[in-house]
Amino acid sequence: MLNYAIRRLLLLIPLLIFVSLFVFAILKLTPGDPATALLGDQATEEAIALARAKYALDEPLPVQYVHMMANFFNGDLQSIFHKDNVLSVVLHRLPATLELGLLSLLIAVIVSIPVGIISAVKRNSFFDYASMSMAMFGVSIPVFFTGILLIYLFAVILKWLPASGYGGHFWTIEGLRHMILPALSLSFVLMASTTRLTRSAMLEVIHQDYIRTARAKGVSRFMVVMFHAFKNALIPIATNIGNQVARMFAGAVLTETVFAWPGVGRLAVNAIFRRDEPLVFGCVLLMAVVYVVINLLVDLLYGFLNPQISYD
Amino acid sequence: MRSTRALPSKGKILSSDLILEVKDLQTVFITEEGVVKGCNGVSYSLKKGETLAVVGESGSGKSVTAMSILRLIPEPPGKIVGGQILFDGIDLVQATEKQMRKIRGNQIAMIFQEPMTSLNPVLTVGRQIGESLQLHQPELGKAATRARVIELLELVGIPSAEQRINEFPHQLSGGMKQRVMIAMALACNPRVLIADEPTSALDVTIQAQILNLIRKLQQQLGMSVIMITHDLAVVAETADSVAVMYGGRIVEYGSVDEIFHQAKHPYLEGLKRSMPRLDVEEEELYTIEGMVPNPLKLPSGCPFRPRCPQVMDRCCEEPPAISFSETHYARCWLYAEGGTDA
Ligand SMILES: Nc1ncnc2c1ncn2[C@@H]1O[C@H](COP(=O)(O)OP(=O)(O)OP(=O)(O)O)[C@@H](O)[C@H]1O
Ligand SMILES: [Mg+2]
Repeated sequence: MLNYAIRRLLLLIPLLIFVSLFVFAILKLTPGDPATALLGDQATEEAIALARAKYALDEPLPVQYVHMMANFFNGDLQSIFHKDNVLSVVLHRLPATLELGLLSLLIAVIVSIPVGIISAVKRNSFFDYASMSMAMFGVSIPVFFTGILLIYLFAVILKWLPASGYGGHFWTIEGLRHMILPALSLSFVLMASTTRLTRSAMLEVIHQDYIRTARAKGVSRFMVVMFHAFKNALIPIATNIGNQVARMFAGAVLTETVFAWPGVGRLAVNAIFRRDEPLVFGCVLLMAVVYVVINLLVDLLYGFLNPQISYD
Repeated sequence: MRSTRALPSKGKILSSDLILEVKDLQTVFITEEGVVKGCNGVSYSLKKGETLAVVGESGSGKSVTAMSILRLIPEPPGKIVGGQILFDGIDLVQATEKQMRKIRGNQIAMIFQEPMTSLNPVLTVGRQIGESLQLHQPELGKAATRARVIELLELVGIPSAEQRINEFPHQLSGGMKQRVMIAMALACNPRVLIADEPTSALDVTIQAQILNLIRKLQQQLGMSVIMITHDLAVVAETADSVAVMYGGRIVEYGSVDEIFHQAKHPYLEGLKRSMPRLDVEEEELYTIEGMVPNPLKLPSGCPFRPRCPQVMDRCCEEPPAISFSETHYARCWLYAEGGTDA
C-alpha cells in the first residue's frame, strides 16, 4: 500500500514535465509580449529591454523553459504582476480553493447519496421522477449560470447571503455565509452526476443474488439496502466522484470568477489576462499536483472499499 | 375442478410430525407480456427429519414455490395470489414482514442455486455467516459468535477455518463458496433447510461431496430438507418423498420407491428414461420430445399435453389427482377409470 502510494507519487514527475511543457508551449504560442503587457504601451525601449532581460525573455525557448522550471521549484520564479515569487503567491491562494472544493464535495455527497438511494428504492415514484429531472437539469446547466442565478436569488432578492468574496474558513459563521453560494453552485454538477450514479448502482446491486441471500438470513429490508447493497454500490460511486473531481477544478475557475473568490482559479484567470506568464505556469502546475494527489487518495479509498483490489 | 383432488397425505395432516405444509399455493408474475403462473396450485408437505425432493425441468416452478415459502418473491412483478403455507401454526402467506424476519434464516433457511454470486463480495466470510447469529441470537456476543462461526466452517469441512473467516468470497473456490452457504444456512440450527439445486453449478466430484455433507448434517441435526433438483440421480440418493413438477404444478407425488418403481405420469416416465444409467449401455440418451412450455401460453388442461406421447382428447380438461396409495398420486387422465368427469 505504501509502496503503491510512493510509486504513484513518483509518476508525478513525468506528468509535471508533460504538463509544464504543454503550458509553456501555449504561453509561447499566444501572441503578445509580457514585457509590453507589464509596462504598458508608453514604456521606453530601454525599460522594455530591461524587463525582457530580467524575465529571460530573449533566451532561446528551451533555455527559457528550464529556467522557468528550476526557478519555480526554487521559489525564484517571480510573478510579473505580483512582485513576489510564484510559488508563494499560488500557495497563498490554494487554501481558499481547496476549502471551496471540499465544501462543494461535502454538499454534493450529503445530498446526492441519500437522494440516489431513495430514488432507487422507490423507483418510478414521484420522488424518483422529480429527483432525476433535477439531476438532468443539474448536469446540463453551466456552472457560471447556476452561480449567477444563486447570487440573484439569495443575495440580490432575498439578501440572505453575501454575493461574493471570502469571509474566512468555512467553520466560522462568516466564512460559511460567504462560502455557501459558491460551494453550492460548484457542487451542482457533481451532485447531479452522483445522484444518477447512486441510483443506477443501487438498482443494479439490489438485483444481485447476494441481496436475496441476505434477505433469506432474516436481514430487514432497510439494513439490506443500507448495508449489503450500499457497501457494494459505493465502489462505482467513489470511482465516479474521483473522476468528477477533475471537472470540479475546471468549474472552480468559473465559480471563483463569478463569486470573486480569491482562489487559484481566479488567480490563474487574472494571470492569463495580464500575461503574467510565470504565474500562469505556476498555477497550472500546482493544480496538476493537487489533481494527482486527490486522484491518489481516491484510488487508495477505492482499494479500501473493494476487497478484490490489492496494491502490491 | 381442483376440488376433486384427493390428497394422499390427508390422513396424516394432523399428525404432529408434520412441520411444513404448502397448500394450493399460487404465485404469479405480472410481466409486460402477460401473467406468468410461476406456481399454480402446488401442495406438498414435509415431515420432521424427512427429505422431500422437488424435481422438474427448468421453469417448472420449483424455485418460485421455495421462494414463496420464505416470502422472497420479488414484488413486483411477483405476488402470491392464493393458498396457504402452514408452518408452526401460522400461515406464512399471511404473516407480517416482522414474523417472516424471525423465521428466515432461523427456522427455515435456504441455500441458493448460484453459489458464485450468492455471497456478498465486499463482506468477509465470517461476517456473512455471523450475521445470521447476530440477528437471531444477539445474546451470544462477539466472541461466542466468532467461535460458533469457526465451528460451523469446520462442520462443513472448510480447513483452517480460523483464517478463512477473514477472507472474502473471491478468495474461495465454487465448492468452498457453497460450503460457506451451507454453513450460513445452518448457523441457527433451522428446522427446515431448503436447498435449491445446491450442486448444479459445481463439478461432479464436488457435487457428491456437497450432497453427502447435507445428508450427514441433516442426520446430525435432525432437520427436514426440501431438495430442489432437476437431477433424478440426486433424488434417488437423498429423498424420502418426491414431488414431480411440470408447468407450475405437481404432476406426480409419492415416496421415492413409488416414484422410481411405479411411475405413473408420462412426464415422469420420460424424465426417468432420460436419466443416464450406468448398468445398461445405451446408444443415445433419451430426451423428451418438444420444448419446455412457454410459461405465458400454457395449454388448457394438462400442461404436458403438447409433448405427451399418450395424449388423449380428455387431456384438454384439467386432469384429476388419482391416488395409488396413501402417499402416491398422479395428475393424469390415463388412470381415471371410465371417463371420470372431474
Ligand atoms: N422474477 C420473475 N419474473 C417473471 N417471471 C418469473 C420470475 N421468476 C420466475 N419466473 C417464472 O416462473 C416460472 C418458474 O420459474 P422457477 O424459477 O421456479 O423455475 P425452476 O423450476 O426453479 O427452474 P430452474 O431449474 O431453471 O431453476 C418460470 O416460467 C419463470 O419464467
Ligand atoms: Mg430454480
